[in-house]
Amino acid sequence: MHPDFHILLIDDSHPDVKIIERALHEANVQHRLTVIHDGRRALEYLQRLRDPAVPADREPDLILLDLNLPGVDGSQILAEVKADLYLKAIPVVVLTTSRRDEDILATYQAGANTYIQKPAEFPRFRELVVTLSSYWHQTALRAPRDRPKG
Amino acid sequence: MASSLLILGGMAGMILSVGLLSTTAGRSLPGLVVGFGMVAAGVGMAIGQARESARWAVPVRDLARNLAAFNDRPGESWDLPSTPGLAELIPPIYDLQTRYLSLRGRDDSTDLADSGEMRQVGPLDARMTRSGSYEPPIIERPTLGTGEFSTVDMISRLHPRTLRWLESSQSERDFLGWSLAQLQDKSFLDIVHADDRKLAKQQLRAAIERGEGHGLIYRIITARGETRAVELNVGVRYGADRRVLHLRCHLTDVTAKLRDETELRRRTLELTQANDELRRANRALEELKDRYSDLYENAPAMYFTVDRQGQFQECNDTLVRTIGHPKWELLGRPVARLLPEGRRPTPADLFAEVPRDGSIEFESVWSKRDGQTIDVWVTGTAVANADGKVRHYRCVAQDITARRILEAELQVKNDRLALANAELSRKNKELDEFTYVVSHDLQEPLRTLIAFSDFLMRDQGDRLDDAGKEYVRYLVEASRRLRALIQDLLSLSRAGKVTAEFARVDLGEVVDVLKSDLSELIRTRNAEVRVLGPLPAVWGDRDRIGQLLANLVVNGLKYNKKPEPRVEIGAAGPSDGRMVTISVRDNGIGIEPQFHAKVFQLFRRLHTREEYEGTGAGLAICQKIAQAHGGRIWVESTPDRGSTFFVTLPTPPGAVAAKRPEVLHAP
Repeated sequence: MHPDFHILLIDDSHPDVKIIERALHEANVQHRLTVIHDGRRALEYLQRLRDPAVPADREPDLILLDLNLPGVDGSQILAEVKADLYLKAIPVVVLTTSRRDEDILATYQAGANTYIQKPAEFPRFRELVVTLSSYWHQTALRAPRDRPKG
Repeated sequence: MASSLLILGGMAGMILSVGLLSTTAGRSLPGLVVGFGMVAAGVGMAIGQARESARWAVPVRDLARNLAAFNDRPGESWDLPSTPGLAELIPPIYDLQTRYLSLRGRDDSTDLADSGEMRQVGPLDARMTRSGSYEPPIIERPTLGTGEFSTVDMISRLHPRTLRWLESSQSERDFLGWSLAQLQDKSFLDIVHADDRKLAKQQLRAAIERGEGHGLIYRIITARGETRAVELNVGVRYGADRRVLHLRCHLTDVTAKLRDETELRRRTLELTQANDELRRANRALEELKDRYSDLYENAPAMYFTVDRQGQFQECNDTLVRTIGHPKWELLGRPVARLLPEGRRPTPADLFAEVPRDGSIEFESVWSKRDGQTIDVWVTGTAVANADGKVRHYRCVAQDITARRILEAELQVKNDRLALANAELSRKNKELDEFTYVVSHDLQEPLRTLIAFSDFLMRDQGDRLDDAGKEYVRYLVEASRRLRALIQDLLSLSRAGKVTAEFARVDLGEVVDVLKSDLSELIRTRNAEVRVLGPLPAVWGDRDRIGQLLANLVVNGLKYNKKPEPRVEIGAAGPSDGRMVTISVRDNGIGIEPQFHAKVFQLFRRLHTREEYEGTGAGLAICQKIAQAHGGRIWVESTPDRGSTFFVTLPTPPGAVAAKRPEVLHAP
C-alpha cells in the first residue's frame, strides 16, 4: 500500500482508535494516520485545508468518521465536508454502531460514501478494514484535484 | 095538515109569480100585480113551513139521534135492533130525514139556530152547520138483498155450540170464498189455520162464557187456499130467556196490517240495529279518536305545527309538559321565542329557510319556563296548498339533552381513551427506543471489552499463567454472552416494529430460504427439515416472519437429542377466513406442561448453558412477532416426544386478487 495513503480518523473513543489502528496495522494497510478526538477540532482541521499555506500532505485521502462525537456531531462534520466544493471529493467512511435502517439511510443521505459498522468482533472488523482500504486505495483513487487558489 | 096546504098555496103563488115574470117581463103595469103575488106567496110559505117544522121536530130528532149513535159505532152501523119490523122502517125514516134536512137547509138558518134542541141532532147536523151551507149527506142505502148484513163488513152469525155459520155477509163470503150454504156446513174452526186452531177454540169458548171477545187474531185458510190473518170480534147474542142465540162475529182482514206491522217491526228492528251499529261505530270512532288523540298528545315527542311566520299553530301536550308554558302562551307565538335569552335565532329557528324538498332539520336550544334549557332536534316537513305555497310546517322536536350529555360523556371518555392509547403507544415506542438505545450503548463498552481481552490474550498470552489465561477466557466468554443478550434484546425491540408495509408472504419461499440459511446446521446435526403439504401465503413483514420460523426451526433442532432431529412445518388448517395457523413440529426433548406458557417469556431458560446454548430470547421474539401481526403463538408438547408450536398469521387480503396473475404494464 502507498505509504502516503493518509487517513483522517475522527473518533473520541480511545479504545476504538486503538482498535482501528490495530486493524489497519494487522491488515497491512500502508498508511499515515491522523487522529482527532474532538468534533470541533476536526472541523477546524478540515476548514484549514483550504488555506494554500497549509501543506498538501495534511490533506486526507480518506476520512473515517465516528458519528457519535461530543460537541460538534459527526453528521455535522459530514454535512460540512459534503457541502464544501473542495472537500467533498474526499471519501468519507462513517463508523457506526447503529444497525438501524433509518440511521444508515440518514448517513447516506448526508453524503457518506460508505459506512462501517463497528463490530464487536475484532477479526471481522479487521477484514472489513482490509476490504475497504484496498477498495479505496487501489480501485477508487481520488480524481486529481487542484487546491483553490488564493 | 093546514100548514101543508099553506105551503102548497105559497108554492103555487110562487110558481104563478115566476110564470108571470117569464111571460110579462118588460111590462110596467103588470109588474105591480106580480109584486103582490110574490109577497102573498112568500107569506103563505113562511107560515106553513114553521108549522111543519114544529110538528116533525121531536120524532125526527129521536130518529136522528139513534142513527147517529149507530153511526158512531164503526162497523156496527146498520146493525139491526132486536125488534123485527123496525128494520123495515129504517129506509123510510131515512127518506124522511133526508127530506127534512133538505127542507131545513133551504130555510134561513137563523131561526133554527135559536132552537137548542135542534142543535143536538148529531154529526149530520154538525156537519151541516159547520159547513155553513147544506149539502145532502152521502149515505149509502143499505141493500137488503143479502138479508140484514152490510156488503162492506164481514159479519156473520155462528152457532154457539157448533160454531157453524148461520149467516154471513156478502163481503165475508167473498173474502172467505165459500157460499153461505157451504159455510153453513163448516165450523169456524175448520177454516182456522191448524196451528191457531187450539187457541181459537179456547178463546172462543172463553168469549162465549164472558159474552164477548175482542181482538182475536188468527190465521185462516180461505177457499182459495190463501192464508190470511183476520181479527175476530165476537159478541154473544141472547134471547129473551137469556139463552144464547148465536155468536155475532165481525171479521177484519188484518193480513196487510199484520204484514205492515211485521214490516214495521222489522224496519224498527233494522233501524234499531242500524242505530246500535251506528252507536257502536261512533263509540269505536270515539275510541279511535281518543287513541289517536292520545298518541298525538302524549307521544314521547313534541309535535307541533308552525305557520309560515314561524309561529306555533298547534302543539301537543308533551310539548306543553316539556316546555312548561301553557298552551295559550305558545300558540300564535314564534317558535324562536323559546330560544334562551341572548341566543340569536338561526334561519332554521325562524323557519325562514326551507330547502326545496320542504324538509326541515335542525338542532336548537329551547328555554323551559323554569329557566332550564334543553337541546332539541327538530325535524319538520312543509305542508303545501294546492298552489304549492307552504301552508304550515308539521314538526316534531325531540329532547336530546340526555343524549347530548351522554354524547359529551362518551366524547370525554373517547378522548381519554385516545389519550391513553396515544400514551400507551408512546410508552411502547419509548420502551422500544429505550431497549434499542440501551442495547446499543451497552455494545460500545462491550466491544472494547471483547477487543481488548482478545488483544490481551494474543499479545500477552505467553506471559500469563494458566489462571491468568482462564480469567481472560472467562472475560471473553462473559463478553460474548453479554453481546448475545444485547443482540437478542435488539432483535426483540425490532421484532415489535413491523410497521413496515405488509405484503403477501409465501411461506413456502420463506421456508426454502430458511433451509438454505440453516443448511450448515442441518447438515452437521444430520437433521431434516420437512414441509408438510403446500404452505399458505400470509400477510405480513417477510423478514420478521422469516425470523419467527427460523427461531422455531432452530429451537427444534437445538433442543433435540435424537440422532436424526426432525422438524416439520405445515399448515394446521385455516382457523377462519382471516387467519391461518402454521405448525412447527419437532421430535426434540419436549417441554414440561408447567412451562408451556413460560417458554415465551424473555430470557426464560429451562436448561443450563452447559446443556443448551442460548439466551432465552428466541421464543419471546417469536411471540412478539406473532403479536405484531395480530396473531398468537402457543405450544403443545410432551416431554421426550417433542413439541409442536402453533402460530396464527393473517391471510392476505382478497385471496382471490392475490392469485391473479401479475399484469405487466405496457411500456
